[in-house]
Amino acid sequence: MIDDRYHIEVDEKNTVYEFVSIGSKGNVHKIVKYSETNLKNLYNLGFGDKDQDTSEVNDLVVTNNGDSQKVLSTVAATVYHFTDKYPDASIIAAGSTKARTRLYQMGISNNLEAIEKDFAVYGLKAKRWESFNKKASYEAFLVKRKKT
Amino acid sequence: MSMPKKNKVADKKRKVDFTTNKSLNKYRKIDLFKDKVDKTNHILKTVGLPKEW
Repeated sequence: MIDDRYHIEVDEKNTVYEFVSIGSKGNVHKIVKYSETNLKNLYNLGFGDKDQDTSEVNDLVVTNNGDSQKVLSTVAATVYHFTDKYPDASIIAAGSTKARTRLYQMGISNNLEAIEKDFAVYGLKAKRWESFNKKASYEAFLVKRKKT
Repeated sequence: MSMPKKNKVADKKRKVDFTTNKSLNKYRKIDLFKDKVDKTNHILKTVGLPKEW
């Protein structure tokens, strides 16, 4: 999963990432941002498309650029990079739409064995966190880098 | 203590595609994905974190 991905640019604090999705709809600039929350060392993963004219970012647009797996792999690479820089960070991610949440879920499920080597992975279901189960359907995901 | 060779390769592979871009610094000051952050804060307040976290 982590191998086939786009080149990534990152800000100087390693909290904002940008890459370009290349597909059937053309080049689409993507932004990933790790935002602080009310809890120390707990970050929200935000992800959306950047308008090249206005630089505004929209996380509701559906691009359908035909490269969702490569995009997901690239987002996953930012998780590795971010937690390399902030090893005590925990990250919560939920898709901006149900479809995007399902995409995250599939991405985690399809690579769970590899991901669990490096991360503790939990899913939010019925207002309760549980250890990630491939068969369950979750509203949000929580990951934390394992100590090596 | 040196890093095992396998880890060095994986580490290099992971880092090779990243380039620093100062123009992205501006997004740190913008409330991007504010609704998502609010939602996350709501989850933290109402559900909390797993006991073993």
